[in-house]
Amino acid sequence: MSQERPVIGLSSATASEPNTSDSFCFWLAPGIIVNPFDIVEAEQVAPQGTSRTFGIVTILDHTTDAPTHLSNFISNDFGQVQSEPNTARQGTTVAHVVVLSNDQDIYMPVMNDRPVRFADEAGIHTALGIDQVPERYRVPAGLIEMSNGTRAVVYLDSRYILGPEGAHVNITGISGLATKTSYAIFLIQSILQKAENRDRIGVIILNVKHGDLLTIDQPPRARLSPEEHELWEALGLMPQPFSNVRYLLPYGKDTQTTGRPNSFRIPERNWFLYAYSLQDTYDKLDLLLSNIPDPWDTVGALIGEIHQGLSDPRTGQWGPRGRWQSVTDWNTLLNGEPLVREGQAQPVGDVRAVSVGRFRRLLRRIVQTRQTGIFVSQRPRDVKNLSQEIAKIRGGETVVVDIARLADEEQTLVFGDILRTIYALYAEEGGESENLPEKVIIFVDELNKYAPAREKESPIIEQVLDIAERGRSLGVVLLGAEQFMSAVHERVVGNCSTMVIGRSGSAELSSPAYRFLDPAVKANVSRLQKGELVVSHATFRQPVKIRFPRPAYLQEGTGNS
Amino acid sequence: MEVLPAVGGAVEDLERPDFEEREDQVLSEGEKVFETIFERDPGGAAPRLYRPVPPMSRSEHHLFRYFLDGSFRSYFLGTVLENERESPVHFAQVGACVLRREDDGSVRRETLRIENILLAGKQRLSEAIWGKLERLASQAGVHLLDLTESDIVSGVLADLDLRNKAAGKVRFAMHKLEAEAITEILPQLSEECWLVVDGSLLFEPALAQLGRGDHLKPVVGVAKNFRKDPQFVFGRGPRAERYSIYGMLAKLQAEHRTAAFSMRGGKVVFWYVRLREQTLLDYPLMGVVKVELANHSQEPVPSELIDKISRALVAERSVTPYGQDRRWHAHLYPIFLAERAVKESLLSREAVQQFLKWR
Repeated sequence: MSQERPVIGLSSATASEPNTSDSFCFWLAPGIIVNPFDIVEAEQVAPQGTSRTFGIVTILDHTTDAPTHLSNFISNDFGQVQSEPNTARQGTTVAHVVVLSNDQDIYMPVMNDRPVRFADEAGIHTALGIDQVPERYRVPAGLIEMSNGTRAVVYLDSRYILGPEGAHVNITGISGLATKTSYAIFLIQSILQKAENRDRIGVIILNVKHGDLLTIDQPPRARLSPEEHELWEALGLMPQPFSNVRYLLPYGKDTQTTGRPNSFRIPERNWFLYAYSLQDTYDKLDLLLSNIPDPWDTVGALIGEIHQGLSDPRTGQWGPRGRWQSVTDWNTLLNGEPLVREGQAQPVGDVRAVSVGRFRRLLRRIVQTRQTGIFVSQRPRDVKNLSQEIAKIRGGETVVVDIARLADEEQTLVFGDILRTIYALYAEEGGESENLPEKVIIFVDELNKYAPAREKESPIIEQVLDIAERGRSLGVVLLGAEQFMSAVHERVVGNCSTMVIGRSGSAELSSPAYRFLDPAVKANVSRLQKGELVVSHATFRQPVKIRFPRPAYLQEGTGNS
Repeated sequence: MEVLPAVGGAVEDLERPDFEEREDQVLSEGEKVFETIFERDPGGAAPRLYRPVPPMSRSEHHLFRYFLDGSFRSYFLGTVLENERESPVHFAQVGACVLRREDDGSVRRETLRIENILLAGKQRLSEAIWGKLERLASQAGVHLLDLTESDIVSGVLADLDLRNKAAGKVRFAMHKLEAEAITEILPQLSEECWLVVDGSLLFEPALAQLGRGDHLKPVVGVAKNFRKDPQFVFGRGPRAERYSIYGMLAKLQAEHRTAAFSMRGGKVVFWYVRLREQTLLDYPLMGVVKVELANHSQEPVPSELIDKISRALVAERSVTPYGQDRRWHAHLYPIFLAERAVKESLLSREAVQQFLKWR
């Protein structure tokens, strides 16, 4: 069968550059075009007949017999740029290949002068180990397109995305290429269409920028191009918008008068408002103040005092008592007893008055002076408690939570609230509720805001780490995206079994976060085009470059990243 | 007195005498003064000592299509002692390759011949030992050559020490292979499709086969190194000018050729072509090649043809093997590639040393 495909070159081993178990080189026959990330196969020895060693091209170089550039200068009649060489200088292009696999598990170095061919689709699957993944665990992740036109669907192993073998996906790359969010949504759609027990998977999507994710259940106004359709079909997926979507939109300053949420766009249907009264927030103040430096834990201690004071010890629920009895909303907390008396900050527990004063200034700024309207004195009846809404998630349902127009502290509160709610549902309550989905996927962009690399600990980081480190066994999957992976906490990235990398700058790629990439692959990552990504998956022996189709839902503008 | 300065200061001497130059000397031993201008201008104009030959590139006129060179690798295996007799034993691989150049300037191998040779002195050994060597060589597919047999090349190193003579014998074997390659390629040549041979054409049987027939064979020999002792006489009578080769070539401009001279009674015509500017080279005699053409008719050759050959040769100056061969200034790159093609096909030193061991 392989004999039908043309030989594109012969393997080459030299004294200074031997072939090894892990890599080999081959020179290209004249006229053959090969690019980095092409997957090739070389003829290899076997006990009977021959076997095939598959590899991925990492870099190509062209070499000539000119020992120095001066030789070429002199060859061109001592620097005559117009001179045409009578005989073409002897040269060849050599492709450097990293070994992926051998179809008979033979990892001898490829011998010299063995024929090398482009791999076909089956060969690509063997090369990547996809042939070892049972059909029911295969999730289409994109399409490999090679220089000779060969296409192959790249499948991820759902056991390494949704657990239990591994979990979490991280997508990184510079913005402005409409790639990261699009890919995340595409991957979610792929999971929802192909994964086993897909009706038992719930999805939570945070819309952090513009309004593109607020219409994911609406078809695009213009039909997808035939090329896009073909791409969807090649992947074995239906180009269709999400179904069964619930939108949770933030309450804004004008919502009371206009009835409009504080969002860039209002979904056509099935949307609800959410807001935070003190009653909804008193046990999440640590998340709200997560970004405040608190080296001596004074803010933490005061939050503890407030939490204790506003909780009913019998139920653990909201129930101010004793000297906290007069606290009913944000205003009474900030301006009334026990924090304030006659306009003066008072000591609370072990927390001195001066620290209480600082806490008041911080909290007032966040929930009153600079808030976007999400903090309300009392939540109107038709405005939802976000935590309770998240807890209602069901298998097959997608919940979109809009935080695009919220302030940074508010976004942190909402994201932390979602994580804490889901974690509590699965870890603390054991996830035994009949209605609870088997798996929950949480997608958030700008993950670096919530789990930054430099910070050692904060309530929101701890919450993200809990999910990152235990989510695999709980069935809670974090699908995070950011511009710079180096800006994300290494334990969060380290727990992702799938890394997706879009175009990135060379300075970013030189950071230790990318040490799993071959230097040659890094150089290629900096040249990726729109719609191209490099995927590193737990079961792949090397990262591969893929293409994926545009999402099949209504998107307006080009603000996606 | 005139000095031809080595531009970069002193030019390093070659470590060994150049074999090509010594061969050239031996092959035309009897002739030292060349006074017959052996070309004729169709217009009847008197020949000039120097003629301009601007480059004629491949895209303009692709005259040279084939390039032939030979190469060898020789190993001293040891000395056979038989009573009071002794003889050195050598093993050599000789090869000849013809490359064909395509219209796009790329080259491919047209023919390649490789031969394994065992050399020993027949007269220095008993018939029994020689007979055994013959049988063993025959079984191994190796040609057995007698080091004591004389030939034109090994005569260059007329030395009683057979070890020194072995190098000449191997070169002679290589020239024989080259002659076979010429025979093979000849049917493919035409007036517009020439073969360039590295070095001299004066070897037999090469010269004999090129001089045969009723038309000029489209084959030129191009030597990058040549004898430095001939004298040239230009003109007749009291106004005749006499030049040493240094004097003649020092005044040869870049992209010019000398007049063609006759050798061996007109069977061969030869001339010199300067490929490169003198100012760009270390020594004025660098960048000059000697061109030989077998002349079946022994009549003067048309100047137009010599010009055409020379122009095509000047165009060959790009590309050069600068940095890979000390004779790069006069080396033709396709010839260099042909030599390399042979060398790449020979067994490595390590392989030969491993399988050729005394047991």
